[in-house]
Amino acid sequence: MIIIMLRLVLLLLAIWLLGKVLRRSAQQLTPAPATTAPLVERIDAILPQTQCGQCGHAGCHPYAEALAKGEDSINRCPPGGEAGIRKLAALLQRDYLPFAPDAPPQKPKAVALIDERTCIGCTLCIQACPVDAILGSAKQMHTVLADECTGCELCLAPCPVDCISMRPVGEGAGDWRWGYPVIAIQPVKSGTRP
Amino acid sequence: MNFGLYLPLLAGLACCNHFRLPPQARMEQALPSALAMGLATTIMLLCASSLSGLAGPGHDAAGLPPLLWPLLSLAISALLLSLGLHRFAARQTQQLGLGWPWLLTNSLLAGLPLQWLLGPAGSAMQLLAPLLSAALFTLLLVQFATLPQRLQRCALPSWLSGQPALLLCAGIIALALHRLGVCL
Repeated sequence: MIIIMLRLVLLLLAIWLLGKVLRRSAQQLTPAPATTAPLVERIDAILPQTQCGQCGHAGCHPYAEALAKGEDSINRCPPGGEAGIRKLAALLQRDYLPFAPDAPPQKPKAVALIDERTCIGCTLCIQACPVDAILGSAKQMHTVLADECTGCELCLAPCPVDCISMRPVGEGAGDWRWGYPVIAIQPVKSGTRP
Repeated sequence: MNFGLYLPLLAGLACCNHFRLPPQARMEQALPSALAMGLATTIMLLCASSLSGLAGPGHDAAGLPPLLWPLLSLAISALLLSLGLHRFAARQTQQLGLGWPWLLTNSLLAGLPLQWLLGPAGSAMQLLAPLLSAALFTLLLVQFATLPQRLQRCALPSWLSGQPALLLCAGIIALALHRLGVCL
């Protein structure tokens, strides 16, 4: 008799718990989104959007398309840095790859600066800029919108008077980060501990 | 049948249950689904053992084959629960993957071997065995529901990430349970 009562109590307890789980899941579960972002868009969101072409493609989106099709490797974007490679490896489920030996070296973020006294207003840099960060017109002084400039250096080569230079962007309070690693971890030998 | 086979069977069943959800739902609804399926299995096993208890030892004498009555009681309890869930929580049942084929499969595969293992055991054992079995099954379901997130934090090589890693873990868990079951 006790066994039957115990069994009944346990059965009711399990039914009550199942009801709680179902009620909770009914509150939490939302209908699944109709579509998730396509893979190309998710890759493109990881890329730094410098449009610099150092990867060998016309911009970040074409590189993202090539990665989505598996036509290129994930270690061809120096502006994205190693963190970018790791994010791409995780998204595409590939192994981490260091930068290729022939890849352009990583540089600190910089913006273009036009020497206004030297500029002749040829507009070649305006045509070369992939993000329209240079303002000016023919035979008028040009200037760079520092907030828009991605530091791709594509404006340097066409300038006939070499009036464009790259200036590193200093860290501000908004983007300052601890250097990593902060403290090198040294293995402690068992005999050297006090 | 012995515990060395039964416990790995539960691990395999839990792994198959994890893969019953579509990939998108596997990430979001894995834990509630695992808890719900574990509780449903507990209810089915307790209900089936109650039905067997109600029938009493006389069902052997009634000319039924020894395993027919447990088989019938497990199937009836699974179908009754499925009917109840469909009646009272159809939407959640569908979202959590508590369809009648899985309920019936879990009920039969988790409950039927217990009849071989226990035999004509005492009534306390008849109460404890389904309960412990369902508890272990729930634990395994939760384990598989939370494994993908934990595996994502491991630096696994790409050929091992995702489903292969999960299958490897299932194999390791099954081996460990086999060793445990042999010792019982």
